[in-house]
Amino acid sequence: MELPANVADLCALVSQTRAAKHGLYPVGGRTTLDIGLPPSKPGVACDTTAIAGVIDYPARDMTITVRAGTTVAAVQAELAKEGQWLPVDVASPEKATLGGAVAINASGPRRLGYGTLRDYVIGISFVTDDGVEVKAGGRVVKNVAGYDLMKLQIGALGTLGVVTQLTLKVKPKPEAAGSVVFGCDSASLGAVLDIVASSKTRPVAVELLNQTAWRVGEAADGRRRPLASEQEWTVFVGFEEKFAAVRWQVSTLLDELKSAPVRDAAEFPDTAFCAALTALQLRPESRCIGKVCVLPSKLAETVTNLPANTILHAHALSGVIWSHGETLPEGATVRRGAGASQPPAWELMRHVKKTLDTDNVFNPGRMFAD
Amino acid sequence: MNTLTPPAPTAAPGFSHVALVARMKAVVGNDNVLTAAADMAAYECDGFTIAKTKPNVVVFPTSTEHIVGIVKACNELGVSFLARGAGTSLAGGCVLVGGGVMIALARMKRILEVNVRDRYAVVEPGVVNVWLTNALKPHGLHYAPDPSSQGACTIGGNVATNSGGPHTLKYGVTVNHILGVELVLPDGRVVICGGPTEDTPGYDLTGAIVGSEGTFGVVSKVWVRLTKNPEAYRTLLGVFETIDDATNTISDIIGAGIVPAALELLDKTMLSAVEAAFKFGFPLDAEAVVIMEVDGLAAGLQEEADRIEGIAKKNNAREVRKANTEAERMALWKARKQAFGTIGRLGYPSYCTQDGVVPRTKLPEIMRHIQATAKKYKLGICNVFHAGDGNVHPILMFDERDPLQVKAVMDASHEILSECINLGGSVTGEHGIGVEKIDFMPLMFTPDDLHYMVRLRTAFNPDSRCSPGKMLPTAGGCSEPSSFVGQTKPGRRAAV
Ligand SMILES: Cc1cc2nc3c(=O)[nH]c(=O)nc-3n(C[C@H](O)[C@H](O)[C@H](O)COP(=O)(O)OP(=O)(O)OC[C@H]3O[C@@H](n4cnc5c(N)ncnc54)[C@H](O)[C@@H]3O)c2cc1C
Repeated sequence: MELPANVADLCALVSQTRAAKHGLYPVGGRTTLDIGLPPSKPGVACDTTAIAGVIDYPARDMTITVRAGTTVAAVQAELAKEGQWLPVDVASPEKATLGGAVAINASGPRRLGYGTLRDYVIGISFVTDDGVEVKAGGRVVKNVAGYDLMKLQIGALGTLGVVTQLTLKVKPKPEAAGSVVFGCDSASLGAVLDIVASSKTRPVAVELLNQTAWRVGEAADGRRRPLASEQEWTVFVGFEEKFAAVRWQVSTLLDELKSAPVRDAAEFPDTAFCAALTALQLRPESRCIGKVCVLPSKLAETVTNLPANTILHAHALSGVIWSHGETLPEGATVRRGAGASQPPAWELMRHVKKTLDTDNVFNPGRMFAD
Repeated sequence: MNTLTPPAPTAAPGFSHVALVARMKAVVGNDNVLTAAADMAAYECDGFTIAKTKPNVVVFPTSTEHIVGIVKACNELGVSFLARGAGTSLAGGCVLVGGGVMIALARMKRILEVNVRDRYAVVEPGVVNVWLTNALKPHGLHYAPDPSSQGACTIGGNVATNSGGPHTLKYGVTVNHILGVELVLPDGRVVICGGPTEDTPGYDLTGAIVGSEGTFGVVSKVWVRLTKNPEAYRTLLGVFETIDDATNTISDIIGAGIVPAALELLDKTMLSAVEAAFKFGFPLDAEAVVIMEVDGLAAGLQEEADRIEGIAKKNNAREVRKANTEAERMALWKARKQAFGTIGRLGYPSYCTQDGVVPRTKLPEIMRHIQATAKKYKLGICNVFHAGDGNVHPILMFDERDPLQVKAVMDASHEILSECINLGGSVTGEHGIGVEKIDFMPLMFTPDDLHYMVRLRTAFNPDSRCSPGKMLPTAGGCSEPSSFVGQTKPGRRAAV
């Protein structure tokens, strides 16, 4: 394990590794190393956590520039001083680095209301296979000069270079939060989700959990939510807004649900459950974790056809399903475990990788198995 | 006037014009090909009228298969090609450097699908931005990116340039609303990147294609995200005695943690033109007005509007007016979005719209710099811009018959954009690099940065047959100025 102290050392390490025809395996907080496929050639792991720290935080511009080895929690703590935040859920934020979160395109329940990292990263620097640091984007919220290399790195699983610096657009923290939790059975799940989708309210999160996931998630949250009975499905709807708007949304949703086939609708004064639901995505005890993406309108049908004894939870209005079990469900994109579905542009992606990392230095195997 | 010096073609055109036209007619039919010089005059430039070259032929595909056929024929004949939407680019994105085939997408204009429950639509690239929003009205949805040119510009052009608009302050620019694209690669293969489901595995090629200014291939289909209409709006017009008061208000609103839907500034000169055209009732003696709009749920919105009014008043707003009805609100937005079209009323034969960005707290500085630059060069300058994003659009007005004025406009533009870079910003927030700003790229990026961008382009467009001479300096890594676009005159006017 190498631990470059700065970008210059990292550049040298990349050049050496390439010359030796080895692979370079960048490592951040070690929270998601089991995502993707196994390495395909010998090489060195490269710990990026020494390349850390806030570079510039002009709070009134609502942007922040940090070194990529900074933990997500440290970034959030800095932003919190000014009443701001990065509204993207990242599991194990105390350990996870921002660079790592970018590499796996971390997201959670709040993606419905706030989008994902691609909506927040406005500037990037990374070390290329030539052992040089390059940059794209900038430090302003609107900028179309040059290609958008930020998008290319987000979700690339570290296969296109080692990210060294990121500039983010950030948001003011919402004034208030609240949520509504209710249960329903499989037969009415589709209808219930349709009602939530057409609600007058604008939730930031709509999470769906089967019984097993609810038990695990709730235990992790540590604060029992008193649901009167065990439900086949539990739906969590989170709101974050101005006080008046949260109050209005909670009562409006409860009204809308009055005639719906749901049970035990209850209200909670926060959205803290989002953290437990984010952590669930990386549950250490789960052998395989698969992510299945479908059209939101097909979500109810899809989840009710998956085996009920697995842990199932979903970002219901985004059409993203997480399934934990002994095997991956059909059509899963890989998280943990072998096998993954390939999108139509797979060949073009391989070609992009070949063009930008000619000798396959960065995380060889992880995305394309070779 | 042709001030563009085309590069020496890499290889002498080995094709015969007659053969090229015949091939194109075979692919798209006689009615979908233009060859007469007079017909093609409109296609020699876009809203950036300084750079002009005539295409050899203009073709109008009506399907992806047509585009594939055109592109394959171009490869066989060794001809360059370029996609064109409505030609409203202000950076010379539609200039076919060195000539070749212009693929005009105006006839691929169908909205293929609107899915209300799953909140997406599938459109052909030639669909005009506002058509989509009009089609969505009955569903209570809209397509969020709303460039001021939305009555003319196409979704394909928006994707290529990653367009912004007044409301992208809150809702995000084009890339934040594009779920996927179908792309005809420069070798004629068709790929689909992304799509209506989220988190497609692998690289976010869609994100890289958006904003690539047509240099990665021809976008033949687009999946866009649809946004629920806000439940309510509050639209205010702050009237200010000084530009500083107006820009300080904008800084303070953002600094207070309010993210309005839009914050647009119009200065005194701009107001006089807009008022002459629309008789909206703008105060003609004010130095600046700021359109300040918040939207969202009705609950709590009035309080937010009140806070904004308070901030404006604290910054010496002479008056804060309110749009009390939807009709008033629409009238105000019409005046804003069609402001460019009224510039002719200011009595200058020509004008050049610039596009720079600064961190939003630096707005007072850049506006002072713009005023000082206008004074220094004795130029007329007016301003109408997306202030909340720090995206300035100084409009330099001049008489192109006077070479001294022309030079002054070139120098003043350069100074303003350089100051944007000095203040930590960018030389383009939404109009793109095109051919216009290639020479600025080495000021913003190192040779290594540019070299890497060239490598990425190579993955899609290895021999630069698709839209040559755009975005990146020719030598890629070298900081020598681009060799083929000799700009002696600034762009005259916008095309809408
Ligand atoms: C009055 C006026 C106001 C404007 N206001 C704004 C504004 O508020 N915000 C903003 O962002 N811009 C604005 N613009 C600039 C311009 O309208 C945008 O850049 C717009 O996106 C261009 O769309 P278009 O269809 O006209 O594209 P074109 O001008 O035809 O093309 C622009 C570029 O896109 C490429 N391209 C077009 N279609 C495709 C395709 N299908 N596949 C691949 N490449 C393609 C072209 O090759 C070219 O490089 C304004 C322009 C005018 C004239």
